[in-house]
Amino acid sequence: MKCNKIEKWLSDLIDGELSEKKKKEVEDHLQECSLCRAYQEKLERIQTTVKEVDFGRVGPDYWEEFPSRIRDRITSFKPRHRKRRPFAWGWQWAWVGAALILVIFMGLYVMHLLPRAEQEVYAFSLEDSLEQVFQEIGENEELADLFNMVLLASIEETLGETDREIVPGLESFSFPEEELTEEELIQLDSEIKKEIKS
Amino acid sequence: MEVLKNMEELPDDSLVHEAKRGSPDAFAELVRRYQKKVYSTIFQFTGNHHDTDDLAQETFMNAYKSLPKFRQKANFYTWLYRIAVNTTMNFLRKKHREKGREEFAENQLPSGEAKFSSSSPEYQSQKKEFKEKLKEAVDSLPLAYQATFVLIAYQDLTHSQAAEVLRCSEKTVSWRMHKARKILQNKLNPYF
Repeated sequence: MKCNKIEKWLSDLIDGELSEKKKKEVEDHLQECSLCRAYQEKLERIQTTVKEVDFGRVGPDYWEEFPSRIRDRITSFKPRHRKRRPFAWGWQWAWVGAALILVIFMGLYVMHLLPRAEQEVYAFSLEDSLEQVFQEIGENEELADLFNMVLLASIEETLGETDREIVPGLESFSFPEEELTEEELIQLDSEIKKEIKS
Repeated sequence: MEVLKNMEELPDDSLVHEAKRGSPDAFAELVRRYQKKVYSTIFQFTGNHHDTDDLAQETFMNAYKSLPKFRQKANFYTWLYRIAVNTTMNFLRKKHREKGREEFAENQLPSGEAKFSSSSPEYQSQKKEFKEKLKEAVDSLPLAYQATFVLIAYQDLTHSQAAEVLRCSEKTVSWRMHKARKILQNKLNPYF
């Protein structure tokens, strides 16, 4: 068995995350391999030392006062009145926007199908009605904004992930996989594949 | 006083519920419960009290401000850990700390590997030195590995909990721990 696989399993073993079956394989391997035994000793020393590291010398007064400090801050904290979201009003009129968009698309579709000659004969001119729609939108800024809102909302709905907890700061922070080198990514990929197979 | 006593008996979920309804006492109780864990987690990254105190306060204030958005799908402490780690990572990035990290220079490493008895002053001094070098080595890990190592090795989170905090798979957590330990082992090799 390859030692690098055992090294990986030794790490899982220290974390208490190794299956019984793999534990047995590790034990068998360690009896034969002095290099892996030495590696295990080093990992255990690191782990023991980690537990001895103090977390800064903070007295009991600090712990006693800290919740009060936060309490004081939150009682004096006044949430800023959220500016009304642009287009927040628009949801009430969303059906109007949806209907207008539908009319436009249907109009364009039908217009595309109709021969030009016949188009002039029809009493109901799609071109005229579309023009009216745009004129109406042009006169009403709210309706113009509503078009943007409906389109944006549908895009957000398609792209957005709505069932995640919102965590402050997350939008500006993510663990960069780019910190891994290409070689590490390939190795990670192969390790994961091996793990899945086993 | 009676109110506080009652608060101590409430589970996290109820305290979160009360805090969402605007009870500062309920939130203060949550702070009391998790302040040490949050503090020690942050301290592992910053290594100094001043920054840790600021970031711990910021963590709890961020949590308070975001309570209305917390849908309680995760445990409160997992959510709080996530905020603490994110807040700290953002802080470290702003300071460009990772860029200024000092690598362990080969020529600074001691050549000898003398072994001493456990009671001798030499052994104690060696142990202290090992502890310091370990801290430096952890500090020099890439941030993703460092965060994973701190949560699991220092804070005793399981791989599953760490994966939830760090928003990655358990396999990635396991891999990062392995890599972090390999790096630490290499850097500390002369001190074993």
